[in-house]
Amino acid sequence: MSQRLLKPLRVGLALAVFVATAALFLDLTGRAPGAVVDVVLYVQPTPSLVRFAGALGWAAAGFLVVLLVTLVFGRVFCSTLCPLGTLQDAVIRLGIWGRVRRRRLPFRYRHPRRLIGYGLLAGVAAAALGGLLLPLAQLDPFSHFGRIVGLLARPLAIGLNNLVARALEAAGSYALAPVSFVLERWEVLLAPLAVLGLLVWMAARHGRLFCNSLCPVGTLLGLVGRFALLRIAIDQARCDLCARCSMRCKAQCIDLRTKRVDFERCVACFNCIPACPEAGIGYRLAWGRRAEASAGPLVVERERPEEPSGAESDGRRGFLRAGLWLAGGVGLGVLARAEGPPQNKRPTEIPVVRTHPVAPPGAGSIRALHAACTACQLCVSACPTGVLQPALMTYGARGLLNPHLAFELAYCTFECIRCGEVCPTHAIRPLSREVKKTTRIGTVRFIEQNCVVVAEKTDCGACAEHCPTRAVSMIPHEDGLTIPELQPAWCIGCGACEYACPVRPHRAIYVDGEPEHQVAELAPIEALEQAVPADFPF
Amino acid sequence: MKRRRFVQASAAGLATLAAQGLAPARALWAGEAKDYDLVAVKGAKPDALFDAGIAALGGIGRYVKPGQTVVVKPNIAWDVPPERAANTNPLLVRRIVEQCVAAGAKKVFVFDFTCDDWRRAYRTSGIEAAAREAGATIAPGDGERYFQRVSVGGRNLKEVKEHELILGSDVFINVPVLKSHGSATITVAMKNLMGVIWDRFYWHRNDLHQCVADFAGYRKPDLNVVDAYNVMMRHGPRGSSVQDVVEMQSLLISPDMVAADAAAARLFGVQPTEVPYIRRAADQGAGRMDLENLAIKRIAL
Repeated sequence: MSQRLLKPLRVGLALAVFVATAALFLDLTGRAPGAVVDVVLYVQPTPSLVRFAGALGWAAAGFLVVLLVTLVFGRVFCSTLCPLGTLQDAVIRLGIWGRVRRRRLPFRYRHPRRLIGYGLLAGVAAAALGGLLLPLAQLDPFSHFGRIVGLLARPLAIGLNNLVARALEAAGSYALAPVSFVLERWEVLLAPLAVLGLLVWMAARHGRLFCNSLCPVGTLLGLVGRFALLRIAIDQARCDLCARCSMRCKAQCIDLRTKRVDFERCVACFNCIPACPEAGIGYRLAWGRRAEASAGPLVVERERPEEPSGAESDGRRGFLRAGLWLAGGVGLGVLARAEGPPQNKRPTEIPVVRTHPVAPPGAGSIRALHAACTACQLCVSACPTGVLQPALMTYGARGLLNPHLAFELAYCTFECIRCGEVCPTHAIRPLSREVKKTTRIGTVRFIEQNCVVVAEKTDCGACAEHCPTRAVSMIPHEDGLTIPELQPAWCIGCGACEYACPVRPHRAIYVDGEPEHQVAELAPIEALEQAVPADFPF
Repeated sequence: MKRRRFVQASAAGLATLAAQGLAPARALWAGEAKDYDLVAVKGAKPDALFDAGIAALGGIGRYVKPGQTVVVKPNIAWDVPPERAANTNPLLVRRIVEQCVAAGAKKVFVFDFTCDDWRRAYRTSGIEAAAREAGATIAPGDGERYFQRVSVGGRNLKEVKEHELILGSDVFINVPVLKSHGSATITVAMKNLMGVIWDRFYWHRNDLHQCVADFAGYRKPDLNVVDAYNVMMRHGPRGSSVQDVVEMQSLLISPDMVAADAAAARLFGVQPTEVPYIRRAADQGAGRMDLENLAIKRIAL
C-alpha cells in the first residue's frame, strides 16, 4: 500500500470521530443510547483512564488500545481520534489558505521546548495520584472539546433550532420541537471561550503547538511514541532539501538541517508523505536505516519573512464574530426559556442556606464526583431539564465546572437516569431507575415563615403536588388551609418542591445537599380499600 | 414523494380500519342515537369504550366535519408511565385521533402544557407515540409565545393567556383523566383546562376553585371524554405507585364539562357538591351537575 493513502485515510477517520463526538454534545433530542456514547468515547484516553481507575475492565480499557497503537505507529491518536486536534486542524487549514494568498510559508521547524510539556504532565499526574483531578480536568483535550462544544456550540445549535422551529411554526408546522436552554451563570462560558481563543491563536500561528506544550495526553503519547515500532523518517539519500514536507508540518518537527523528524512531537498527520516528490519521507521500521549518519548540517530552509500579521487579525476578527454569534445564540436560547414571575405579594425574608451543594445521583458523594469528573459537560448537555449546571465556585475551586443541581432553574425528573448513562468517566455512575428513585442526593427543608400559606393565608400545595415520593404532603393548617409536612426519610432531593415553590426571592421549601449520598426509604404503601363501583353510581 | 405516499397509505389504512371498527358499533347504536347529555360506558378497554360511547352519541361525525381542524387535549402533565394513570390513557387518545382522522379532519393536534419536562412527559406517557401513529400532529405546549391573552370576565379570573391551538382550531376535544388531586380534591374535565393556559400559577394564588369555575364558563370544549379506565384514587395529581390506582374500566362522554365532572366525582366516590369548583361552575351556569335530571345513556360492555 502506498503511504500516500495514509493522509486521506487519516482525514476521513478524524472527521468521522469529530462529527460523532460533537454530535453527542449537540444531540438536541437527548436520545443517543448510552451504549453509543460508550462506543464513540471509548478511545478518549483521559475519561477511559479515569473510569478504569474506578473499576478495571475492558469497557474502560480504551486508553490501553491507544497506548498500544502509539507503540506501533506513534501519536496517530492526536490527528485521528482527538476531536480537539481535528478542531485545531480546521483552524490550521483556514490559516493556511490565508497564508497562501499572502504567499507565506505555512510552517517551519521549531526547536522543541519539552520542559513545559513534561512539567505539566508530571504536575497533572502527581495531582491526580494525590486525588486532585482539577489540573487534569482543566488540561485534558477531550474535556476541553466537551466544554467548547457543550457550553459554546450547543447554545448556538439550540438558538438555530429554535429559529427554524419558529419559522416552521409561523408557516403552520410543528415539525421541529423547540428546545429550552438554561444557564445558571454566564461566567462559566469564560473558561471555554478563553481556551478556544488560545487554541485558535496557537493553531493559526504555530500549528499544533498546543498539543506539544499544554496537552498532557500529547506529551504522554509523545514519550510512548519514542519507542514506536514504526516512525516517520526522512530517506537521507532521496531528500534533496526541497522543504515541502517541513512547510506542511503542523507539529513543526521536521528538521532539515539534520534531515531528522522529531517523532516525539509528530502528531502523525501524514501531510508530509504525499508532499514529497521523491517519496523520501514516511514510515520506516525504527531499527532500520535510521542509524545512517546524516550528511551533516546544511542550511536549507528558505528565509522566512516576518511573522504574518494578517493571520492574527484574521483570528481576532473570527474570534469577535464567534463572540457575537454566541451572544445571539444565548439570547435566543434564553428566549425559549419559561420563567414565571414571583407569585407572593410580600417578598420572603429568610434566605435559603445550603450546607452542601447537590451532586447528581450516581456520583455517590461530592468527594467522589471531584475525584472522577473531568468537567467535560456531557451530562450538562444531556440533562433534559437543565437542572444540571456547571458549578462556578459552588463546590469551591476543586469542583470547578463539575455538575451540580440548580433547583431554581429546574428539577431532577424522577424517571430520568440520563446523566449516568452518558458520563464518560463514571464520575456519575449509571444507575438503574429503581436505584435512582431511592438515591438521596439531598434532603428537603422547610422555612415555614416563607411559605405563602403562612405569610399570605392562601392555599397552595405546589410542592406536594410535584413531590414524587410523598416526602412532602399537605396537612391541615388553620382556617381550612393546608401546609406542607415533611418526611425527610422518603426524600431523594430531586428538587421538584423547591422548583415549584412560588415565593421569591427566597423559597419556602428547598433541598440541602448530602455530601455522602444516602438511600431513601420507600414511603409505605397501604392497600386501597376502595372497591370498583358495581354499577354506575349516578 | 415516498413520505407523502406513506402518509396517504397510512391514512387510507386507518380510515378502513376505523370504518371496520365502527361498523358493528354503528349498527348497534344507530337506532337509538339521540341527544344524550352524558354517555357512560364501562367494561372494556379504553378504545372500545370510546367506540361504544361515541356511537351512542351519534358518531364522531356529529362533532368533526370533513376538512376541520381538531385539537385533542389529553392530560400529559407528568413524566410517568401509563399504568400509573397520572396521564390520560394513550389507547384512548389513539382511538379518538383515529376517529377524527377517519371523519375527515384536516388536522388533529395533540398537546398539553405539562408540569414535568414536556418532551419527557409526552414520551413516557405513551401519548406522543400513540397519537402520532394515529395521524395526529404533536404540538408543544411549553413556551409563552404559543399563548395569547384573552378576556375571561370571571369573578376571580379576568383574563388568561390561552394556547393558540385552542383559539384557532374548529373542534376542541377535552380528554382528561379522572384522578385524585391534592388541592382540588379531584381533577377531571374542568381542571384539565389548566393545561391550555399559560399563567396557571395565578389560579393557585387566587382561589383555585373559583378560577377553574370561571374558566369553565368562558371556554367550553365541544366534547369531553373522561378517561376513568385506571383511576388514581390518592396521592394525586402525580401519584406515587401503581398501588394508588384502581381499574374502573369506565369512560364518560359529554359536551357538558360540569356534568362530566359531576358524574366522574360519583365514580370517584365523592359527591359533586363536595368539590367546590363543580358546585360553583354549576351555580355560575357553566353546565349542569344535577345528574338525576340529565339524559344519561349507560352502557355496560
